[in-house]
Amino acid sequence: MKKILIFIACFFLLIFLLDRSINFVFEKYIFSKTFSGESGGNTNYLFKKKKDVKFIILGSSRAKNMINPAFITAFNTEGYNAGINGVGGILYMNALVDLILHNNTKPDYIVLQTDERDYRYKKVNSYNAQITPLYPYLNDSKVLQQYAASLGYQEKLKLQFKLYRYNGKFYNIITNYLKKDKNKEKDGYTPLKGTMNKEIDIDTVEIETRLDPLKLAALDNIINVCKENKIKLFIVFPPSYQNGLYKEKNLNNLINVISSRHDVDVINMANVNNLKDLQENINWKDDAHLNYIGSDKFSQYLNDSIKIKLSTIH
Amino acid sequence: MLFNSIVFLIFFTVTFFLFYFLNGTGRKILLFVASSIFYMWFIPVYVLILYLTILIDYFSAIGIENSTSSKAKKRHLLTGIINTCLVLFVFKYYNFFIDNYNFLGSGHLKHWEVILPIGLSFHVFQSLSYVIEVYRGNIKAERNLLVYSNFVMMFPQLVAGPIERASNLLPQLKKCDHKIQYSDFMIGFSRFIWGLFKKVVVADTASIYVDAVYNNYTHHSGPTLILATLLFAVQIYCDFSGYSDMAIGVARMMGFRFKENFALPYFSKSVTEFWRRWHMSLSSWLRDYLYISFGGSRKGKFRTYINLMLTMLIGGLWHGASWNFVIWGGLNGLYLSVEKALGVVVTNPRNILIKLAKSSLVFILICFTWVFFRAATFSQANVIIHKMILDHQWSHFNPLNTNMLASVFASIGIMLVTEYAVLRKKSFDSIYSLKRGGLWLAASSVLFFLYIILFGNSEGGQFIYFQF
Repeated sequence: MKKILIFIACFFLLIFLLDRSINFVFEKYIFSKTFSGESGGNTNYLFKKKKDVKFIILGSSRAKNMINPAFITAFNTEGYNAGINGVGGILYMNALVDLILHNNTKPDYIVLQTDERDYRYKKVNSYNAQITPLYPYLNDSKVLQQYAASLGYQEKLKLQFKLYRYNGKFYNIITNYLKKDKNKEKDGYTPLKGTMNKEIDIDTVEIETRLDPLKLAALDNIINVCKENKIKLFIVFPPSYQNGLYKEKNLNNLINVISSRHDVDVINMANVNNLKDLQENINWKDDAHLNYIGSDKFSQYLNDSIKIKLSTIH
Repeated sequence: MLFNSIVFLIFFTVTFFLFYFLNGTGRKILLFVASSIFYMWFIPVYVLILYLTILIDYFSAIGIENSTSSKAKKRHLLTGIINTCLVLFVFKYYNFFIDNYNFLGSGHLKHWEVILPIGLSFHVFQSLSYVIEVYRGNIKAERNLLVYSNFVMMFPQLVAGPIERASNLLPQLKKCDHKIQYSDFMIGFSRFIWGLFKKVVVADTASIYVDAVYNNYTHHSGPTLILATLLFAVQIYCDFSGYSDMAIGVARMMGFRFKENFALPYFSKSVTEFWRRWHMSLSSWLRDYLYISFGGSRKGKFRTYINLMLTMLIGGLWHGASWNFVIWGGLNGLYLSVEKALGVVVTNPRNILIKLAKSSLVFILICFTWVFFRAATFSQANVIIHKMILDHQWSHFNPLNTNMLASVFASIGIMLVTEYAVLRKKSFDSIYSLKRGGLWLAASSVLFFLYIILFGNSEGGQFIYFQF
């Protein structure tokens, strides 16, 4: 038994030492110098190279691919699009806002792209996917730590390994680190090429769903934190191809809930029928994303809406 | 309780240390309690089904042994087989039967909304093999119910095998006073980590691509579906053989030795050889208790083919109550029959090109059958195969996420190199017996553990074979 116990102790001691040392080297020499990609590089870029930016666009791929900061002239300042592909849920946004402030990046304006479907309550709901992309910054955000803790003791235990923060991202980070050429000056906007050329079935049925309290709380927190830090927040609901994602009742319900709780600017552009220039296939890459042609038009629409909102404030 | 969960880590640590300090009967009681807890982690009340099958076969075997006439022996054997199979039928095949009955227009019987008890097919087969062996006079009936219960429900092999034979496991459980050796612990531990790597890193990450494609198969072109099917072949191998590695490793840490279940099946040079290297505990079960019982190859060529087909069809149905599994089994039966008719024998050609060509052909044939195994319905499998053969639009090939795919291929590469270059030549035991072999095993376990932390799918789900 003595030998077995010594083996177990040595095994975990070695794991502990390697975990800490590899993490130290990786974080210092690779991760912190990676400024592209969805596995932390773009976030690093925001924190380190766009620290003084005055307006930030947050959201999913529907922000990243559809909102061109160059068209948002209403703020009279340079902006950065921090949208993220594949994730972009409101929990992610909440943690990201917390991290932005922790990193002393204090924008004057935040444009938060979001979708009604993100707030629907699901019986089986995995929040992991929204939180894990930000794990490398776990030490810097109380919000993120709370979310991680809510995932249960198994997750807590896994997080004792520092390298677990890079789980599923390690290869991507190294690849992006090696792509030095991508580290040129950028505004985060990633336009999509190509045009939608297939028929899709549009689901127009309205579904009665209740709102997820955890996700609503995340949105509440973003609104409150922005108020406390004197950041002007705009919540944007973008359109979809032939209103495939537009569920009018659900969206109105969500907007009513938000309005009843907060005095916040909501820009509802979800109904594509109100955006005449965006109805043709030529503007769309797929049913959820505008291509570069449509994005420029949409960004212009958005800018006009922001201008109107700002003019009513001033 | 999944092997790849923290709960199991805690459960096993406690069980292991208690097992170490106990002896004889204490160990037997501990194994019974631990195995019951392990099983009850899924749906507690289902442990009663497990106890029921144990009692049926325990008394049947004693009945067989106590009987003096062959008629009475047969009666007890049939009682054991029918009752055990009845449990399997009720929980696993009842709804399948209803579906087909209704489909044939004979009625409107309702489904029975019931969740299949986990690993039912495995412990039913294990129990049946015991009763049949007692009947054949190859082993003595076990009189100690605790020992017999542990044989059926010992937790490392309870839910997904290997399907152990009584002649191998019962004597080990009967004594249960062996000293746990450091070498056993080291070898078992390394084996467990290796299995965990295969499951969490290779199978669970490959499944992301496979699920994304198969769940939206109408949106994908032939090349994408081909890649997804190839990855499913890797996924199912690593998922199931990974589980077997972990089961064998856990048992070995406690000083028990299980039979091997896989031997690099995708390197087989014929389908016959494949079935000698894939899920060996099941294929030998099918051979010994079905194929040979049907007459094997003793009754002429035609009957041999029929027997092979029948055995594999039942083997397919054993996997799941769906026509897709039957077709999967039928295809394998067809391959085996054709090979038998062509006189294909299991050989190891020296020419590496011939080896490669034969292994590739077998791999493609097996991958074709996996489409039926993975697809949810027959029509889905049909569309997928149609697209794989006719839709060659490479421009529509969809890698989904190139970085993720590259990471999966890197992990598959590590797995292949380790299995082919190291484990094919040397088992964990023989590596340990080398000079500083223990150190090699420990060092590789550390590296694989770190690899799991970095590349493992932390949201990886259940083992595929748990559903059977």
